[in-house]
Amino acid sequence: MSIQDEINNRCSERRLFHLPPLIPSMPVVRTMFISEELNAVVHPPWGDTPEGLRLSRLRAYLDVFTVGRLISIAEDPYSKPKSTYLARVDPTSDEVWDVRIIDPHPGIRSLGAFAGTDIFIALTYNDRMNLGGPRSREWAAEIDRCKAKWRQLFPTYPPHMGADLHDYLSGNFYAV
Amino acid sequence: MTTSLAISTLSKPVPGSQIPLGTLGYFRALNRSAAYELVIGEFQASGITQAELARRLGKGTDVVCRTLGAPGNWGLDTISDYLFAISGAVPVYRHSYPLEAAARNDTQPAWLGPIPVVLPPGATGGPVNIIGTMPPTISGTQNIARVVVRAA
Repeated sequence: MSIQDEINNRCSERRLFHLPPLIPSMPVVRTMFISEELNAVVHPPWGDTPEGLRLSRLRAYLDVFTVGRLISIAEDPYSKPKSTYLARVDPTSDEVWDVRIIDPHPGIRSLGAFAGTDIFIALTYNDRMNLGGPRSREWAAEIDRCKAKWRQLFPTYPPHMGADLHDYLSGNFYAV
Repeated sequence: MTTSLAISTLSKPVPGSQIPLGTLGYFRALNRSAAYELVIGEFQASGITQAELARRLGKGTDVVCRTLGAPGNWGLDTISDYLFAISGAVPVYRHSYPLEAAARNDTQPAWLGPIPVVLPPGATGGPVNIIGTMPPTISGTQNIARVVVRAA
């Protein structure tokens, strides 16, 4: 059994959800799966509130990945422009990545991992202001929460591990 | 467990009705992404360094590096300045109508199986009824982007 079979099983169990772009005419170049946690908030209608606006941005960011738009990506968890789209989190050996929705303030961080090239599984989301500094206990807890969710969904498969960024994204990215 | 059938929509503007803030936010983010792709694509194709771009713009390399990281706070002047400094290019503006365009059929990888559809209680008599499968995209009604089932 491959991880693709496992993904199919988790989708059938409704513990994982495939997320095509919200606009049906847009191309699907990469593949995004989301957890139940994210599935509860990324679909409109969003409230006419600052929180609704932030969640709509979260959805747009996820769709940017799916439709194959150019994204910025950082391998170094601690050395990257503030507004980088996708960044590894420390320790890099955990293969946890951070989708960084920085606008509007306060931003959102959605953690997840790759299941293969161009296949990302977003597992958690949280307000950035809840996560403290880069090496804070809160950040570590959020990373642990992401890893635990991965293990619950894929107990026998570690996240995808690549030798370089091209093993994660087949193209249209900007390494920062 | 209860279930509900949520219709995931992005509606076109309707006369007399205010557009939901979330809809505007969604398209703003896509717009920023399109601008980012334009500028970074030009930067990558040019082969110039961030240091050279910084010199041309009279800015610090750190500022240019930060700006190229993502389009978080870009304005129209940023796009104009960076495009021209990179290659003498200027943006060309045009628009499209994505909510009116036909839905695509290829919305998932071939290895991903059919997506189960769960209807609300009462639809066929049970609390949760998986009644079959359907392709992930519904075509024909442009305002219905996706059928999403949420379990609460």
